[in-house]
Amino acid sequence: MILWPPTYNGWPAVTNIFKAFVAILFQDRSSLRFAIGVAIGISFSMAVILATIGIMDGFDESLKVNLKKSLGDIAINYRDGFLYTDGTFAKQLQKDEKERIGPLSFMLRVEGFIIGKGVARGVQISGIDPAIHSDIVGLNLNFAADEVAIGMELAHDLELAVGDEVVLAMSHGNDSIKTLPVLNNFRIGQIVNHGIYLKDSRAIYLQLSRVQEILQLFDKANIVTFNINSKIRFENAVGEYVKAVSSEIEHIREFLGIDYSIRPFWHEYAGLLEAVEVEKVMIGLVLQVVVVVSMFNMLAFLIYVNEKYVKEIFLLRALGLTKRRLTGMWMQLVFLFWMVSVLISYLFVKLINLILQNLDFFQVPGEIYNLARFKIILASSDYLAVYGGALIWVIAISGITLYRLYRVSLLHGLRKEFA
Amino acid sequence: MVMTEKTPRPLLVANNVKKSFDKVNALNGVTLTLFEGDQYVIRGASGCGKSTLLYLMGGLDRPTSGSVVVNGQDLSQYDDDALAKFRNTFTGLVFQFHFLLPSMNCLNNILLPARIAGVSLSNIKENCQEFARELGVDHCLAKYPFQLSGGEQQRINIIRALSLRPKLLLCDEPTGNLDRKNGQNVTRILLESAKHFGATLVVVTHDQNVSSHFKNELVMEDGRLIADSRNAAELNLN
Repeated sequence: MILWPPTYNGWPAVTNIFKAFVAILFQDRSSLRFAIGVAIGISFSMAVILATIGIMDGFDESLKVNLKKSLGDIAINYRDGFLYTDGTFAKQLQKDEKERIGPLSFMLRVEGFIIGKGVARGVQISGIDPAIHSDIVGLNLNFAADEVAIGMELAHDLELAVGDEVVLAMSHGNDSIKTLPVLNNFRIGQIVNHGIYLKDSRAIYLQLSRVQEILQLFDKANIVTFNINSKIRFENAVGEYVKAVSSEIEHIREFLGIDYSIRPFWHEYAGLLEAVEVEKVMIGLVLQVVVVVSMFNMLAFLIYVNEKYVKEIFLLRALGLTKRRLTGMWMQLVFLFWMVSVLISYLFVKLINLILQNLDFFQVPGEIYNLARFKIILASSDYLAVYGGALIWVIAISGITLYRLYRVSLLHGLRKEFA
Repeated sequence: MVMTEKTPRPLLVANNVKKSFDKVNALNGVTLTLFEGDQYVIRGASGCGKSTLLYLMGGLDRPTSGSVVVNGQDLSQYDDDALAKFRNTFTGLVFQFHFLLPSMNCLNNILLPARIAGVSLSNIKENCQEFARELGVDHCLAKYPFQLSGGEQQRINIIRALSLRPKLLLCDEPTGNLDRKNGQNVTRILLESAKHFGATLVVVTHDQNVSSHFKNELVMEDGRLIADSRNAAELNLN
C-alpha cells in the first residue's frame, strides 16, 4: 500500500542540500584536482606575502630584542659633559621618576683599540658595573677587574678565547686626548653574544671603576641606562613595550630638558628600522600581484565548474532551488575554499619559518643584515590584511561567476542544456 | 437520495499568454483553463511552442505578456525565489532525458526536491520506496543512474517529480527517448500515478500514440492552440 500523500513536518535544515551541491561539483577527479591546485596556488601566494612581511617584522623585532641586550630601555647622556655617579644625577632623575623606572646603570663608553695576537681592531669600550648592568640588559656579565668581556664576532675574528691576554689602547683622559694612548693589559674573562653582528664585533666590557681609573675620570660616566617599570612584558609584546618606552622618554624629556640626550634602546638602528617598515608596506603592495595571478586561477576554476555542471545547476533551479539559496551555497563553497587556502598558507608560513631557522643554507651574512638568521614574526593585523584581502578577491570573483550564471534565464538554460 | 456531480475547480488559467525570445515569437497568445485532477496532453510539431507553454505553466519563466494564474495567484507577481518555491512544492517536472544526477544514487536523486525544500526526509523516503515498489524499480534505488535502463531511469524521474505530492505534474516529451513498449508503460504510469495522487497532469508530446491515451488533447501550431479534440478543457481558441 502506498503511503501517500506524504506528511512532512516542515522543519527546515534537517536535510543538507549543500552536501549534495558539493557532491555534484566535485563528482569527478578532474574538478577535485583543479580545486586542490587552485587552493594550493592561492595558499602559496598568501604565504609568500606573509613570509615577506613576517621576515621584515621578524627583523624589526629580533633587532630590538637583541639591541636590548646591550642597553637598558632608555639611555641618557649629558650634552655638556659627564654624569656623576656619586648619586647627584640619580637623585635628580629619581625625584620625579622613582616609581616609573628601575635601577640605574652608569656606563663610561669610549672608543679604543684592542690588540690581540698581533692584530689591532677599533672597538667600543664600555665601563660598567657587571652585576647592575646584567640585571638591566639580561646578559650574564661576570668578569673581574683585570678582565674584559668581548663580543663573540670579535673573538672569532681575532681568534681569541677566554683566558687569552689582550691589550687595550685608550686615550689618557679627556684633556690629553692628543697625547699617545695608554696601553693596558687584560685577560679575556668572558665572551658575550648580543645577537647583533656590529655589537659582537666591536663591544668590549670592562669594570666601570677600571675605565674611570685609566681615563682619570673618577665618579664620572657618560651614559646612564635603565629599564622602565611596566606591566607589559617585553618578550610577550614588543610593539606595546616599545610604545611604553617612547611614552616614558617623552615624560623624562619634559623635566630633564634639552641639556640631556634621551634615547630608546633601538635608537642606533632607528633609521634602518624605519626603512624596513616602509619597505614592508611597499613589498606587501607589490606582492598583491601574486595574489591577483592566483585569483585568476580561481576565476578559471569557477568558470570551469560553472560550465561543466551548468546542467546540474539548472536542474536544481528547475526543481525549486532559489537564487538566494544557490547564491548562499556558492558563497559558502568559496568561503570554505578560502578557509582551506588560509589553513594551508598558515602551514606554509610555519614551514618557511622552520626552514629559515634551521637550515644552514638560509643563514644570512650578519655583517650585512646585522642578524645571523631571519625569523618570521607576524602580527594578527598582518594575517587580517592578507587573508582579508584574499577574501575580498574571492567574493568579487564569485560575484562575477554568479552573474554569468544568472544572466541566462532558467527557461533558456533548460532548453539549451536539455535539448 | 440526490446525487450531485462534483464541479471541477480551475487549477490553472492562462490568459492571452505570449512569449518572445529576441525577435522570435514562441507563443502568440494562448488562453486556456486546466481543471484540478484532470489529465491533458499538448500535441504539436517541433517548434510549435508547446514546451514553452509547459515551462510557463511550471513557473520556469515569465510570459512576455498575458498571465498565468495558478490557484488564483498570478505567477507574474511572484519574485524569483517565490517562483522557485512554487516549482519545488506545487509542480513536478519530468524531462525527456530523465536527467538524473550521476554523482548520486537513485534514492538520493529522488530526494533532491525534498532536500531543496529542507523538509524531513524519513516519511518522504518511505513513501518513495513504496512507490518505487509499485513501479517495479525498488531494486534500482541504491544504484546509480548509469546502471539503469532508459525506462527505469524515467520511472525514477517520475517518482522524483511526485515526491513532494505536487498539484501539477508537467512532463516534456517523457517518452521521447524510449522505445514503443517502454513509452506505453511510462504513459500508463503517468496517468495512473497522477490520478492516484490527485495531481493535474500535463504532457507535451509530438507522438500521437501517447496523446491517444488522454481524454483532453490540446493541439498547438505556430505558438497557438488550434484544436481541443475532446473538448473537456474549457478552451478558448483565439
